[in-house]
Amino acid sequence: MFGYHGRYLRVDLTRGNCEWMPLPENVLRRFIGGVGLATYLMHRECPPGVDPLAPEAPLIFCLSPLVGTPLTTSAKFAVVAKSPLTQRLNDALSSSHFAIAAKKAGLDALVITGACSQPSTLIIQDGEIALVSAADVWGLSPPETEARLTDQLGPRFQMAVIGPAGENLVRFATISHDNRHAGRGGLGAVMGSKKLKAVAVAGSQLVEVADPAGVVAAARDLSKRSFGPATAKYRELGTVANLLTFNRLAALPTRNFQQSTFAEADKLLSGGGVRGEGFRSKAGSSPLTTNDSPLTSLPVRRSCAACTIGCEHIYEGSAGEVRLEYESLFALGPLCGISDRDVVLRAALACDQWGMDTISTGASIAFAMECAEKGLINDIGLRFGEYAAMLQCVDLIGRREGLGNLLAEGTRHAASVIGGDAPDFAPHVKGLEIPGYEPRALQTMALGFAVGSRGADHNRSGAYEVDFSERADRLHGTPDSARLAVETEDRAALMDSLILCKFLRGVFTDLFTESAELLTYVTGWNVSAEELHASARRIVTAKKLFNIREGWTAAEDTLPKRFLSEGLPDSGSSNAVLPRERLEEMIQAYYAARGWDRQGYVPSDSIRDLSLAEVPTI
Amino acid sequence: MMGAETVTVEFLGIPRQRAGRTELAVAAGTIAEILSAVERACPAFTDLMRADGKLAPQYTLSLNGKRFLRDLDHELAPGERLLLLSADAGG
Repeated sequence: MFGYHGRYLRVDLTRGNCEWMPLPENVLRRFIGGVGLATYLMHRECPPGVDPLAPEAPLIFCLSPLVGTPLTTSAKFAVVAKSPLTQRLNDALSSSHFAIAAKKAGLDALVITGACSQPSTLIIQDGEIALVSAADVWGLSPPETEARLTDQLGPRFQMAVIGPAGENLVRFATISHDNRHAGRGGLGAVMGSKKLKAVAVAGSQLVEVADPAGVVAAARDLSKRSFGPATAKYRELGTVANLLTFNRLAALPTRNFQQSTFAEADKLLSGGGVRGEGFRSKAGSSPLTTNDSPLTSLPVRRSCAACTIGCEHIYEGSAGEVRLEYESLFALGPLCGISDRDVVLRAALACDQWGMDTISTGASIAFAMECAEKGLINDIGLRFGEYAAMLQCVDLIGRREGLGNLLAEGTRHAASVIGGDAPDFAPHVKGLEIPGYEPRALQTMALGFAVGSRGADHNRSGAYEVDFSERADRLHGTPDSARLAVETEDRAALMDSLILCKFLRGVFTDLFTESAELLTYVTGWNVSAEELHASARRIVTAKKLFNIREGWTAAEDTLPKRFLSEGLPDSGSSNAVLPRERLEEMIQAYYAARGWDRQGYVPSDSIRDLSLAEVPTI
Repeated sequence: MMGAETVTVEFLGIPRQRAGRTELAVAAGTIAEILSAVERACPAFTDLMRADGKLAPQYTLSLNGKRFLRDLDHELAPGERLLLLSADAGG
């Protein structure tokens, strides 16, 4: 077998033992790797109805056939579990040397069940495992933990770790590697519930590819194209550039989605905040705002291992250097009414150190701010724009103290406790907080959020691409735009399973055809674009079937009442409204395009046609 | 240039970096004519158009911040605003 080891390692932390499980070729070919293969493994390994924080709940790290090849952006890994935030399937991706080292350790996937009796580190080296005490790193931040373990184990080992938020079971805690996060859905809490502080991997087991010369030629070609204009935004400006664009299009979620423009957006990027500090990136990019903008970069950018794009821009604030992305910027800035860039940088850094998802953290605080302004909670001084209280609240969530203990449960649960009309404006879908795309101003994306298997999600549905095109009216979604949303989901499912970075997507002329060629070079299978289209549909449907198994109903495929009953106040979006009937019409079109019935369930003939019938528990 | 017969081109993201300015007033006309005026006014903006005369795929256009379009024959009325953006919105 080329491209795979053909096996996964199942580790039982309770018993402290492990066993190798075979991965047959017909499974690997149908589910590819990454999110796809991990979804298959969740069907196989996850007991129905399990509490995500119970010892029996599996936590899965999954690699892909492309890991270890010279193909740009291929050093990625998926982490999958049942989410403690949504109670549904949750898949998150992260990158870099951990993926390469884990594959060299001799496995295609790692399934962790059980729980340790004491804080522990799981060490895997060339297929051998050891559990050692993590008492000396318990309580440390992810970067501190990795540094300490590197000192102890040596530089060959790469670590995926949790921060204190994961230890404290914050339901949107992350799993971190090299300061990048498998960020959404609380996978860090799953790891924390197992008292597992870190997974350290090393090895020397290389996987052969079928056509080494073909892989090298394809890698050179892809790398060359990755330096081109399709990735210029990520390379030269970073994703923070989205802020001004979204603001101009009145699609920037502001003050807990009460508005879609932020009057101080320019100030947030250009300086002059409360503290008057500069907002400097380390990458040397040109200004985003005006010609005298201080949004300039320091001399270096950072990249994941095996990546030629280099999207990570590092900014300098009063607390030190911080990697900042648009999602962190929007959530900790405009969503909370914060216009001081240094406060945003400090909050983002705090999230990194606690090991918390910045989107859910910012959204939870913004939600609490609105609750406080409406008198629904007695608070710690939270009001939109109150930066000191916002920074304090980040730490309260990480420590699970006071109001932070409630917000650490996520906005869905917090709203149910607070009561009143709080559930109407708690910004989540299926319990996952909404990212930085205003649904009423981007109505195909609104559909993508509503039907997403892991909740409100901009990485599993790229439906915003439809909204930002001439193919749809972003302010008035239709059944046609719903069908286009399906295509973006399928592309994401393929890229998340290969795994390749989505920032590479613009480089491909035909993603499915070119991916088939790459997979053929690596595996030796005669893969076609049609086969990969089917695989993508299979993976999306397999995720849906897992959720159905866990109690999903069509009532979950919706948006909070605010989005379906309040128009946007901003004229820049033509005061857009998204009536419930319109969303439901789009959802029906989506179900039909997927071959599902009107209630969103998957008919048996679709299960058969997608070769899903033999998957365990389906 | 600024007056009743002009339209305003707004630059966001990479286009702003390439153009070196936030906006530009040009004579009203078709989008093709407007983009030609942008190229003349911003000589460093070298990758705006493809060799076949179409808008380069890494860019996209929005009319008045509402509707997206790529039809270069579309004619803008005086006073309208054409947004020139990076095509990749995600992140």
